[in-house]
Amino acid sequence: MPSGPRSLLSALLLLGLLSPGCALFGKPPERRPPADLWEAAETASTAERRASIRMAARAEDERVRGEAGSARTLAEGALRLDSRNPYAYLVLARCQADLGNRGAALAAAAEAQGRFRAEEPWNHTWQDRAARLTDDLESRPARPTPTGRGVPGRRLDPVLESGP
Amino acid sequence: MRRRVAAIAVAGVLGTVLAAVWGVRVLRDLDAQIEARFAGRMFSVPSTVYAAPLVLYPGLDADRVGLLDRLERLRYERVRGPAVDLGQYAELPDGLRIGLRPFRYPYRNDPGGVVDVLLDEDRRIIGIEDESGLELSLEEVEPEIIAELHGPIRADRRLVLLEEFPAVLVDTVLAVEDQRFFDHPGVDVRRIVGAFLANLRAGRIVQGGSTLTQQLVKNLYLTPERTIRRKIREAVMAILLERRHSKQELLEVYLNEVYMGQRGSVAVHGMGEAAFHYLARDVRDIGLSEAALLVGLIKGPNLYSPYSRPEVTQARRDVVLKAIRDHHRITDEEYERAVAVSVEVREPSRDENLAPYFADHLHADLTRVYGEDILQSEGLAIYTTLDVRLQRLAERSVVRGLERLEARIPALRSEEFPLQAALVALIPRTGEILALVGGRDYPTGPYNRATHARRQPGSVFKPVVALAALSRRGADPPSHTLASPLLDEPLEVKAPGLIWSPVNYDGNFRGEVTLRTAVESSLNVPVARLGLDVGPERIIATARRLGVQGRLRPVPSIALGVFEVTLLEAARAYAVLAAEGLRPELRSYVEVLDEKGEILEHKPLEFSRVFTPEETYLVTSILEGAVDRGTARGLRRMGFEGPIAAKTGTTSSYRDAWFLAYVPGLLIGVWVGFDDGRSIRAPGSVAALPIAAEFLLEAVGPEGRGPFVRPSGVVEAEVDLPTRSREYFLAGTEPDRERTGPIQRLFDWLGRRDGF
Repeated sequence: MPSGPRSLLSALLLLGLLSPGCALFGKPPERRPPADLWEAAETASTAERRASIRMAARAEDERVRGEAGSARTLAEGALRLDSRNPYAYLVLARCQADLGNRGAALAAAAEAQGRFRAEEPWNHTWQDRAARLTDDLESRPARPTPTGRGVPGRRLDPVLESGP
Repeated sequence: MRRRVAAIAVAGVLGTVLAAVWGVRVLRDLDAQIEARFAGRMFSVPSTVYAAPLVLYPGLDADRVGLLDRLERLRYERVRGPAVDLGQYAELPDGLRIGLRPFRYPYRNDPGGVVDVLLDEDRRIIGIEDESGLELSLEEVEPEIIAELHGPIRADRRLVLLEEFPAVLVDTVLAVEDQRFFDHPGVDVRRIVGAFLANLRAGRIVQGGSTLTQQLVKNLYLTPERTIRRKIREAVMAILLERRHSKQELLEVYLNEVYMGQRGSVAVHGMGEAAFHYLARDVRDIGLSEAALLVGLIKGPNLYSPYSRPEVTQARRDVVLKAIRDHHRITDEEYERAVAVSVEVREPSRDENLAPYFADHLHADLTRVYGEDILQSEGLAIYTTLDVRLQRLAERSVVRGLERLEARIPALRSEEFPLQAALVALIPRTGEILALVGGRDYPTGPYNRATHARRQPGSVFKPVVALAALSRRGADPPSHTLASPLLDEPLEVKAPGLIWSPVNYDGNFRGEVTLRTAVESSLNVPVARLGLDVGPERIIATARRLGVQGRLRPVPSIALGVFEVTLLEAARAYAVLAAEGLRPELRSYVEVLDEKGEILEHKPLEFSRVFTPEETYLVTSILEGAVDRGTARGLRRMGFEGPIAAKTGTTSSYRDAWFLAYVPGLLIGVWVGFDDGRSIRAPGSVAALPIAAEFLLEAVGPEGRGPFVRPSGVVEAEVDLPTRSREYFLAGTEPDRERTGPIQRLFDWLGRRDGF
């Protein structure tokens, strides 16, 4: 039998085998991405992760208030508590972007994406946010990164915004 | 006669003119001297180095992080409660009530406040509430001071603005030291005459006639000698000073300058520093009794020091209280209340030797940026990454580990050139240095072996060779897998003038082993063969990607770590493995502020991805195996049960013993050896591993910090090997037709070899 019809046959066979199982057991419960950082903290699985997300949430609050420098320090503090926290990497990326540190922002955004994929593969909402940030940063022209406190760049919309 | 009178008159006029000219010149010189000091920087204020703050949050084990010890080290006063003031704490039935002190963090001035830290029966934090009962998600306990960077004049000082000093303190100072401060022009003639008469009556000096301004002049400009000449000079300068500066300015300078005693070799200057030194309080918060105590010390800080004779201190304080009552500065009632308070001073707990190797390393970093002068005199605040609890644990582990080793091998004991060790602990992904020990005993040997001693890494380099073999070569797949066979048979490599013939630690050969087994069991011969297969250039390139900076020659022996690195360099290389392929820039500090609290520098978190998580996971898997089955299994024997990756290292003739280990979020490196390269007669598993084990067991507990998560790009496949039946592979590199389970076999039959 040629491979095309063979593949179709295998798919139909599998569907036939699985359908009774789905009917019996129903759909597995969907995991809903947290709406914001505070909700993400509530659903965190460890105390360290919870504390780290809460600190990242504080960082985001600072950033939204226009205090990118202090926000960055808080975001880094969140990573000190839990250095694998994807939410903290995302907030750090936004802070770095606000400060005009494009390279650092891209690195943090990439890490946020990687960490979300590794730890919360079902969390497409936040993965997309990290991806959008990466796209946004890559679309901007690179410019020399100032040292010290940095120059505030275009401030991005808060992580808390909903939408695609 | 007339001629004589005229001559005398002329001489007199001439003399007067000359005296006037000389006088004006002297006055101008004195004025210039005064202004030079005031125009420039008034005080040399050493820079203060802070450890990292302690963050409290629900779920944290309060005992594991040593919360109570920390409060004690920060000189929080333990009280019965339930009420606490700032700087105090009380143990309550359901937890702790802490009066957190105000603290200036890099981006915020925390006013402090009372919080309740609720604990369960296991002493884990279950909640944090403020005074109003509001639940807090996080709270910080202020960081400890780990060092002050003094110049040649070793003086401590906390600068405080005049308006920040409590009124009661200022009033007491003026009442006791200079009642007419605001009325006199710098010199108080009434006071001088009064003091003269009092001293005459007593037949000795019982009263001083100097104003505050004169005292300031003496401290800032003159020597303490008691001569008429010096007193005249002092008086003139005081008048000049008052002409140039307001009373408020002078009073502020005085309160920040007055000598208030010694802390070891360091002089305590100013009321701000004195309040911290004697009372562990912020001067802004002190009351009448404390103010009187401090003012009482001015006359003779060492004579009236509460650390030598507290009863004398109390008596002196009461004299001050009486004086200000007699001058109607306080009521009788206030006097009675203050006198009833017993003098309680706190022992200065600032340990000048806290983390000395770390402080030196930090100092070197900072000096490159700021220079010695600025660090020593401009009162910078430096916020570091140091974890004081881990630092103390590291120091203890090093000392005890070496003592245990010397007890086991007495021939290692040496008074003249003692056995040494170094330890580094850091957060792999962020590069923050949490603890750093550069030797056994800093006072006898400040040489920092963690950062400066270049030693051969030996077997701890084998994982780097493995990584070179297991990682992709650009678009091409890696040259090896964990299951790749390596010959463990006699090997000779010929080079001009020599033959290199590595041997295993036990002298045995095993025929054929896998790459995994070769590294887990730290077998030199198969790893040497692996190095030849991979090529020295690729090994060097891998090492460079891991951040190894030393000289690396492309010779076959490089696979066995025959070159030199520092412990810090080795730790950083391993950090890439622990950080799943991220290479961090190491940091010992995060922020520097000037004395006004303005940010001078933020040292950012920097990292770059140099390997994929999949590639590093394969090596981590080997290192987990080294603990479960290989040369690092001593960790299990010592009680560590959780997931951990580790590698031992021993160089030829046992010159160096290494141990590097990591759990998620923490990496530790240990080196043991003699400075002169003598043999320590023990391998890494005996000399270095126990030091790391002791540290880890207390730092993270025997259960560790959870598993290393396998990335989705690493698959597990069946293999047909004598040592195991399953192995990890980068997806796409697993052996063909080796699938798990019946579903995969079904797909194979249906013609879909790549799965669903």
